[in-house]
Amino acid sequence: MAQLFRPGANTYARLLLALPLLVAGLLFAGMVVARSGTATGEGRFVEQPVPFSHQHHAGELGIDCRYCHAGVETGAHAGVPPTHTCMTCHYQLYTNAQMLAPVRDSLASGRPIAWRRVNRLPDYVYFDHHAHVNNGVPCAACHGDIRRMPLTRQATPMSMGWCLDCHRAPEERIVAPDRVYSDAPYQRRSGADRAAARATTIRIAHSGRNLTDCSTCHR
Amino acid sequence: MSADLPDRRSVLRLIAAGAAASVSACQRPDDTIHPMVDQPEGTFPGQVRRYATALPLAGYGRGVTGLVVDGRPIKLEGLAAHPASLGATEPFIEAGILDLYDPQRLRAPSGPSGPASWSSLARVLFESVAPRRGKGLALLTGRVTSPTLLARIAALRVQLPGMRHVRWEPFDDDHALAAADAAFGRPLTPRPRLADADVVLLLDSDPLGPGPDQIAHARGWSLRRRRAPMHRMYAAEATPSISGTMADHRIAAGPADLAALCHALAAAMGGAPARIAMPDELARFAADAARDLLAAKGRALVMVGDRQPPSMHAFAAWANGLLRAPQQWIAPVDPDRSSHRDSLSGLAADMHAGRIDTLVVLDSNPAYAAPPQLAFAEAMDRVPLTVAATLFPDETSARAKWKVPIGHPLEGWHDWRAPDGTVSIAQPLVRPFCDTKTPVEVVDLILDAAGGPGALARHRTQWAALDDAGWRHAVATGVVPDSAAAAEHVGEAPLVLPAVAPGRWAVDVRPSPSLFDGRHSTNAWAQECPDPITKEVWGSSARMHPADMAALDLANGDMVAVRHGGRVVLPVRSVEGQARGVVTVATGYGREGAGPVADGFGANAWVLQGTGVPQVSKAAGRIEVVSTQPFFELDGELAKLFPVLAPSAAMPAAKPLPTLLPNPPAKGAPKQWAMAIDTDLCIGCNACILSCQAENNIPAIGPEEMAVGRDMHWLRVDRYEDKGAGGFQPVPCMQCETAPCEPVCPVEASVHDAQGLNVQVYNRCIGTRTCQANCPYKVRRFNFRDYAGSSLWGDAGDASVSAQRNPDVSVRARGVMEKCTYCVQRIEASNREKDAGGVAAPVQTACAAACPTQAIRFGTLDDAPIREARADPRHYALLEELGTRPRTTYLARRRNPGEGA
Repeated sequence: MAQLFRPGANTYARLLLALPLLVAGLLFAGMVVARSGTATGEGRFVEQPVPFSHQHHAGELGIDCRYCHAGVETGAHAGVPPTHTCMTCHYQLYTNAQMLAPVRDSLASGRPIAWRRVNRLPDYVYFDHHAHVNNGVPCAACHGDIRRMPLTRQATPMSMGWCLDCHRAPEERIVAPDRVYSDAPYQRRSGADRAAARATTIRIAHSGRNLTDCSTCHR
Repeated sequence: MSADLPDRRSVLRLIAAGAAASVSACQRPDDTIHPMVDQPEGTFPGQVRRYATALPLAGYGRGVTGLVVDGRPIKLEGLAAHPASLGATEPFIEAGILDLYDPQRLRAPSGPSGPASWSSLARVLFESVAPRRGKGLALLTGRVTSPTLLARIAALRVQLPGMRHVRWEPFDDDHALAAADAAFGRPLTPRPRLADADVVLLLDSDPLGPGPDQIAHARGWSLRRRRAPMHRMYAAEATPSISGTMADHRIAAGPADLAALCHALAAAMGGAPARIAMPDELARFAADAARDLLAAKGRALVMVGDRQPPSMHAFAAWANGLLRAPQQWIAPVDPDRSSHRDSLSGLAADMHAGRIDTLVVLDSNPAYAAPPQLAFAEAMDRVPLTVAATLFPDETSARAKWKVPIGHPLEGWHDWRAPDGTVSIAQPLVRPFCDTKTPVEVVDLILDAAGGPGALARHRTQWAALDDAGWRHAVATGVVPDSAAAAEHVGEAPLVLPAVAPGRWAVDVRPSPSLFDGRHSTNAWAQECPDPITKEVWGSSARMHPADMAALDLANGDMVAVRHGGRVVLPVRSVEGQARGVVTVATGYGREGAGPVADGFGANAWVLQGTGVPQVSKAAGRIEVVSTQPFFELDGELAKLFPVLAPSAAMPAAKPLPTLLPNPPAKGAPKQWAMAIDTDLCIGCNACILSCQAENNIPAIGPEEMAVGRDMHWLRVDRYEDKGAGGFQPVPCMQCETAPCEPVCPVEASVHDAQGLNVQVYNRCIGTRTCQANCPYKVRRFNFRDYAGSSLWGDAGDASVSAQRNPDVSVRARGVMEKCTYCVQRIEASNREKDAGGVAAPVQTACAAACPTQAIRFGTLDDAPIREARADPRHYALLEELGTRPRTTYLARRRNPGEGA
């Protein structure tokens, strides 16, 4: 009787045993990549027409976030400042700096500066700034430690899973109103922070709405 | 190997390049942010700002509120302070926003030798009219109620005494004014108050139908209908209209029948002894109507359609005087006392005779809509200098040597009077997109090559009587206070009776409820908006009585030739309730040279304005005009789907369905949204459909897709008919509490949220369409193609059209299911406003905000309007027995036929 298996069969059998491991490994690698900055854009810098430094303006000079991002407390969009806002200071400071030429050109020509977007959400996501900051979600929750960024980078993954982490358990992320615009709002969580978080979660519960409903962010 | 095939190396190079390109395509596309250079104080990006302004229809202004986001007007809503809007809209207002962004618009002036400028036109005009001080100059406009434009035309006439201004509106009110002139010695316009009328008799009048007064009449009618005891409306008309459908008693009556009816009514009301022979049914109708009218003296009203002869208007003046009808007479808002028809015929005759050497047509389209015997298009060829100022290219501009663009009403300063005389000063919502002028500026250009100081300065000068605060107040509120026309005291009108002139055929030319007289033909939303009665889209047929069709051996869709002055050939449709011998044709179709959205659909009804005896015959060929509803009568199903009740009857109590769910299931959550639609108040005007379309970024899909039933409207209005008890039923998503679409979705794209909304998650949807199949109400819509991105119809893919889109609503891609969301973007905007510590305004869906009769009510289950509706004895749910527990529910239609029925 001829042999049922040829010598190579052993090798095939071992490979077959290794296959599930290989598939699992690939899946794992895929998941790691999908959650990495490569896919989500986390940690990404974007070249801007003017190399604006948040570290200098917000960190060293201590300009409040709301001075430039004026819509953050009143509307869905925080807003990139109009050229006029830049020029309130720069009509006297660094008036001839080469770096600021695009700002001066914009004011002279009336044509907006084309800033390149750093924090990008898909079109079907309707994020609302004022609903978040007025309820104790600090800027830093999404934008990171912006006061230490010489060039603005995307600080968080901004993926749906990342949004849902907070929407499922908002109490972890809510701080007292006076810390919303501060740097490092999550260090040394105080009793006031916990009280604000408690008040907000109770209000959400009483509103009968569910923050993880699709209609909260998509429409 | 032949030389033109690529070699191996270049093939590999291309493959490598392609692979590289696909890798780079995976990266995020670059996105830029363009902040304003100087953001106005107190504004922020994405803010919705609301401005009062106005839109014209047939020369009359209707107040609107423009919603402007980041400088772009995206939606028009009603203006509560304006008497012709009362906070509601109608289809023409809703569709008006698309016209603003329409890429088919005329963009720049052009002269006989190609592109030109306004200044070169001014020079040509000056050389032509100045030497003869205006002799030979004719200015043709539609109805002008604008005080500023009238003042500018008067100023023009002072400088050019030889000129003539001809004002002509295709749907004129000549007959009504002539009748009043004969009765009272001066032309007067009746202003009926349907809110105060207990009994109304409509003689081929359609007050609830399309026209500048539609909203005001519909609101008045609905206010009266809500009050007990129920009012009663009689309608005698040639073809079923909106008003006829809503009437308690309706009879089909051709011209001879209507005249005979007047005789019978006059006899019954004690005016005239003579009786003439008429069918029994008509005699009974006349007796019932006369009895009810006389019994309700002081609260009874007779209305006559504008196209009926002067004698019938005179009869109504007599009857209304006798009945002390709730209506007042006002001096015509349009101050021009000449007859529309006569002035246009006079102009055409002079043009043929060579007495006109300069013709300026301002926002009017006589080459399309003038009666055929005037041969207006040929007459234009005999005029050496013709200028057509128009928003869209049309038949008149095609014939004119100069074609110049006027701006969309939302792009400039205007003023108009409403049909009751109230003035609105309309502010622009956006700067002109193209090199356009307003009508006032065009008239100024004839006077002065420099073009005058501009529309704003002209309007400010015209309203110099208002101080700065008064001016700002008038502009901001949209109305000039106390500017309505005063009621005139009239004497007693003598009894006049129309002559009964029998004839085999009569032609009835009516305004299309979507396109009106043709000025909305270029609007893809309007073309795709179903006719209230036939539900036809993208075209129209001749409506005939089934017996007349049988006599001519015609079936639905067969071509019929109608000759009355001109000749049209168009498909025929049998309509229940059509008068014998009457062929009804809607205007607005059969356009030529007006662009791909308008051209080639239907036939031009205006050529049927001839005189003499109409001829109707069968013609060769067939065309099926697309209709969104094939059946209107449902044997045995009607009582369930569309119950019709007696005035104080209640719906039979519904047996509670066995259920395993807690009852009511979704309690405990404070905000549970619901809608209640009163079918007794719905007049089927389609304002809700177009409002939804504008609000929710619904693209027009075109006739081919409509023909295969791929209608994308989130809300449809079903019409039912049954022996004299028809009506309309708007059907949006029912937002079922136990929605059949949800368990069948394999990817959970159809889910419920905590506020009781059945939400559709576009990004999860993989397009199996199982939900659509399982939806008993058939309200789900599928994107078979990339309608929003590349539909030719309505130029949906054009960048200028995408500027209209609501930034708060996703634009759906191909292969995705969509449906009514209860305007979740408005609900969430209110929620977020409240979350952020602000004061949230009450949420209104786009359809509820648009409804002229306020038939659609929206709110939470705890809000008073919904609570009251759900407790109403007329309350019912559609297909309740399926156990879907719909959140959208209905109030049953009522009919008050009285003893006569």
